[in-house]
Amino acid sequence: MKTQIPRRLFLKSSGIAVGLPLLESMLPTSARAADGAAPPRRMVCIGVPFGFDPTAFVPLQAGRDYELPSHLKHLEEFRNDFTIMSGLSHPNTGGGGHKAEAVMLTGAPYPDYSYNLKNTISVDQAFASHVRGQTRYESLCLTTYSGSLSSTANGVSIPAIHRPSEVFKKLFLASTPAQAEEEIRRIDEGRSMLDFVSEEAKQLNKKIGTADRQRVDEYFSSVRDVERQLKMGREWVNRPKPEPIGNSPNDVSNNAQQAAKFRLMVDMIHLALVTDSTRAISIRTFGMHHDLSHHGKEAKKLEACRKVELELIQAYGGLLRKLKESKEGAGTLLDGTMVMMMSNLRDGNTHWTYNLPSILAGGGFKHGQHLAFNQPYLDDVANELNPTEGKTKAVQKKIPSMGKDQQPLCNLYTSMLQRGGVETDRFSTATGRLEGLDFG
Amino acid sequence: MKTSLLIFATLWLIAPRVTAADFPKTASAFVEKHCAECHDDLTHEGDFRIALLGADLADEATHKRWARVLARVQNGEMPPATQKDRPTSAESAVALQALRLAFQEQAIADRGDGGRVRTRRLNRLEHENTVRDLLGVHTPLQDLLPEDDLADGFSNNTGALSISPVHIQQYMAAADRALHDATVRRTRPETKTHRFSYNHEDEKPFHGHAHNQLQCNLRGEDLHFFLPTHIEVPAYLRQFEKLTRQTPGRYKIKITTEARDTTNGGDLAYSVWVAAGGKRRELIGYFDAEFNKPTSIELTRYFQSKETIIIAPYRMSKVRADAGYSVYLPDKKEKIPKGWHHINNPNPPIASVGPAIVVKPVEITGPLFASWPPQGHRLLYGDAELVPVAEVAKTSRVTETIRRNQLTVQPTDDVAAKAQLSAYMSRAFRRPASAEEVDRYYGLVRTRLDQGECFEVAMNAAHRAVLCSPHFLFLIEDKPLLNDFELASRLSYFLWRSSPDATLRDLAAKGELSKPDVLRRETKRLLSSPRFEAFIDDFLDHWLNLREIEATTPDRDLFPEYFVSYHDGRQDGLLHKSIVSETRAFVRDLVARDLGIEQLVNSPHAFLNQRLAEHYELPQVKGTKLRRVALPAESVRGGLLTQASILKVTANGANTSPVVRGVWILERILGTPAPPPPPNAGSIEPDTRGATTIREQLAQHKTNKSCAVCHHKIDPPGFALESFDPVGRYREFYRTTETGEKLNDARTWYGSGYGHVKYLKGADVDSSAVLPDDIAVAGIRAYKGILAEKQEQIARNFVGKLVTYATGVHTETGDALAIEAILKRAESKKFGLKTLIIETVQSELFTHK
Repeated sequence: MKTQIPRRLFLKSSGIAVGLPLLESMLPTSARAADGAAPPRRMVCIGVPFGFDPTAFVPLQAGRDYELPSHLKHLEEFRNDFTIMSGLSHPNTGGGGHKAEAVMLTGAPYPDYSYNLKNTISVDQAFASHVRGQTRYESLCLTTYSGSLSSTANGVSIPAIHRPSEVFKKLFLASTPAQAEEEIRRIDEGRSMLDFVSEEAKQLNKKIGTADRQRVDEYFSSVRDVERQLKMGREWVNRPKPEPIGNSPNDVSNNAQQAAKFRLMVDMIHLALVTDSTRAISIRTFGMHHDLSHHGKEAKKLEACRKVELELIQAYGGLLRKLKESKEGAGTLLDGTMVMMMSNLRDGNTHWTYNLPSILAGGGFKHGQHLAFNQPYLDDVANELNPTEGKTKAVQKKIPSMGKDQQPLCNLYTSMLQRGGVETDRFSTATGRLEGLDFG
Repeated sequence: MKTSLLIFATLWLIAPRVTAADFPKTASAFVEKHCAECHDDLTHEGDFRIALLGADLADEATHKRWARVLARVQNGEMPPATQKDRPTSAESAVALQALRLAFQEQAIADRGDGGRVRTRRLNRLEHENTVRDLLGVHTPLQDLLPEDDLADGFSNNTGALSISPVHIQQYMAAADRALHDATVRRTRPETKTHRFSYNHEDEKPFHGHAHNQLQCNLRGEDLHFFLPTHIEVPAYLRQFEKLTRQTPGRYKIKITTEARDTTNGGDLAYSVWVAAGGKRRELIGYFDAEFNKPTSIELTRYFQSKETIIIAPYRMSKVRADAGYSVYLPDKKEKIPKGWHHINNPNPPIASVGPAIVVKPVEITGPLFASWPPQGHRLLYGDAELVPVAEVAKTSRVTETIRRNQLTVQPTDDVAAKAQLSAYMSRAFRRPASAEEVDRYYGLVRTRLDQGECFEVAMNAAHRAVLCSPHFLFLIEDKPLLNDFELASRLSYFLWRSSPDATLRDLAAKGELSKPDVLRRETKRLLSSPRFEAFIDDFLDHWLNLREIEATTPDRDLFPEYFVSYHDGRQDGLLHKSIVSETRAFVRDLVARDLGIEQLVNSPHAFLNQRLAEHYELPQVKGTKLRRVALPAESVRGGLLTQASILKVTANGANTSPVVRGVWILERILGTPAPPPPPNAGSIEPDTRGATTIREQLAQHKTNKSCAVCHHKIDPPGFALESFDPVGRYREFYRTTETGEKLNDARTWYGSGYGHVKYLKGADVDSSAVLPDDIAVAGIRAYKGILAEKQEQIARNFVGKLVTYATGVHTETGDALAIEAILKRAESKKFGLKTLIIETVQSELFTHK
């Protein structure tokens, strides 16, 4: 029996774990790459609500030989590890604005502000349900301010964890034998009670009219789902958690410090993946600079807004770095992890919900290119960067048409799910895989 | 059979008498006579042709067309005012009634036996309130559950309240926490009165802190605040935190303050917060410190473990500067060199003269109990005796939690335990639990008792199952006519957002509540209770969208008035709270005095306090308390539209959009929501550098025909409101940051001193607008005048919102007849708000599924 490395691991006293090489022997047995077997696939989805200034984020050229715009210059060392995309959006999310944050990862329609949203499953959850049971946690939903990106199959938002220390606890806090016993008892109690109430629901449905049964049916299947989850959870109770790596992080309580909060979460994301505690992670972040995002093109405000965006890009690079420095099998943890970042708005000032900023790294795709699906958009950005003499700035822009100069963002999600081993032709409002994005 | 009963019932109330069969004949005749000129096959204005109307409402397209006719004729939109030969009101009434009747019939036919409402679950707020009232606990539960989706703007809508595994898990967790909090495990804590003064040993760490001595200092037992504290403490009462750590519970707090040395003997203000871990958690309120007169306020509330209070002075720096004192030097006027007040300065200046708020020792009494064991515990365990844990542990298994405490309940006999469970279940299910149901749930208890579990754990198994049962979580309505218990629930959740109280339960058990006069009386009782506050808060949050009051932060440079400290971006808490309180107080008052709906949009009064009067530039009002003030004759204020809360939630903190505000008015006040923009509608790129005004940017809405068709209705009200900025101040010019004139004489408060404003004077505001039917208004006063004439329309919309909120389902064309009946009964009261609510409860829409 191979022994796993004991507790005494080197670390910084600040409580933030350094990017550790992924030592094979640190992984719980199930996730170890047996000879020749492919390492597991993971998915990390990062959603931000206010977009990016296009002149700093969108390359003017398509293809492999694009010039890195100012924000992306800070990701230069990862140039061949990521694909930058433009001209993607969710169809029918025209007037949703900020409300459409709810459909970032689902692609459900949100045509106008007063629409009664019927959300659907988010891409991370679609992936998570596929790898159910293989890790202690089906997924981790995180945030650095409030709200969650993830939703269940019938569109209910899954609450997100906003304290990194809580994530640390979930990953590492081992239970004593007494606690484990208590946990098992609690699970058994729970299952017994759920069994009882699901019977209640069945009896109730017999008495009420057909039209009234919908919600009770939903209740019934939800109860069943939790019973299944508890059953699976029970199997994990007695499996030991990994030895803690580093100390519990010191939570940053001030929401204004999104960069600091996000960096702490990046550490936790890394630890969660390194210990194979989960394979599907979503995080909603950088949602505190709303006022700046409505810069109205004023130089000072725009400058300040760009600064915040840059902090985010750099933190994103930090995550890529950590994953790249962790070895796995013949490659790195980044090869086995898709790290996707996008926004529901092109940028906060226009509030436009098309030409959404999107970037995908890792996962074993063939990266190093700019996939541009809306060439006129690139021309617009070029024009804004260097306005030609005599050309008046158009106040109104033309709306791209889906299918012609815009592609569904869910095509990207479809490619990601397929890479993750999920058999699907199209996810949500996709028309297929994302053209031009191939596996390595 | 049912159909004709309903029609009979409504017929009884309407005159003139029409029948459903009248519809094609009467309505068509009307339309032929008054609409043909513009809507025949030759001139089909607005693409509407009466020849295509059809007569069978079962057909979707026909239904839609006639629905448009109904909507536009009943609102007086059509025929246009400019039309000659308009129908008399009697003529319209007959045609409209025939139409409404036909729609109702169709709706009933479509629905079959189902009724309007489907079974729905309690939403987050209702769930938390219900558990609170059932078990007498104050466990925060809302945040455990996923946020509820909105439908039609409300969060208690059947269509949006789905259930997922997440909900089930969280309901289980919520049940555990609530049961834990409700269960007594110790002897009754002694109710004591403590006198906490800030010179106590425990508060020492903060007095020793050099930084705090700049802001406040002790004189004997009293704390004198000369400046606002940077750090929360020392007004963070550690002694109280120590107390709540031991014994969370209800406490009565008595705070005594006084203002001294103010200019002209003015009063000062302070705020009280719930705090924990050194940080503010929730605002309790703002209060006045009177000049040279110690006055006390009493607050009673539940404090969780380790919670305490913070008392913070309001705008003291400004008070001090206005009185001619330096905000740094103790007794001089001029500003001191940078860093003088720094923490490492060996000789920090200590404030000792000038205006100050004196906070005297705080008296705290508690924990308070209405009874012991509390009502919740007794509902769960009855009269089961509380005995030492060790005793119970001899004959049964006790959990870790129980073992860590003193006492636990001893088993009662089966009969008593079952009876108690039945009482609990009946309360929880909001209707009597059947003997067979009780048997089933008691089976859970019996099994565990037989397995050797202690009484508390065994009973909890049933308690928990009840809290997770569909009978608790759902509002179940069986037959088309609600029975007494279902009616009690509906009434209680409508006006108090929680389960029925003892009086309602009693009346329901006796079968009295369904009697119209009893129902009316009970409605009035609930309306006059302090518990009606729950309706005011939640209904307005959703109807007027006040729930988004925190969604945007005003731009600091453009609107410095909204901040007490520019540099760290701290908002003016009193202003921020007051704008919401104003709207709530305003509507509450309209309901209490049953004022006509006209006053909703145009009132001669407003609710103001000192800060709001300052904000609105109205004659001075003294103190922090809101009170009703008669407005000056020419004031622009009065009514909802010019209240800062509304103006804030319809803007984005930096700029305003007539479209957003126009949409708000159409949807929420007039009830004529604009259709969504076409998918290819361009949107503007906001440019606040000042070169172009919003009117210029929206020019296309007028010139482009396909935009104009909707925007000629949406934009004008928004333009009239352009006189108000994103924080609700009245403006005659736009504040800009890049293009504009410098305002050399304008100064504002920056937190530690006055300075030049950073904004520039941009273009003048043009708030003129042309409403549909070519009615020109010069600005907001004229617009409000026009709005005020549309009382029936506004009342119709308001009733529609009430019904949607009360029943959890949006209203449809089929409900128009019943809504009309409600309006008829309120007409003589000028559509008074209280009357509208009462008549809504009396309506078949409320008493039926």
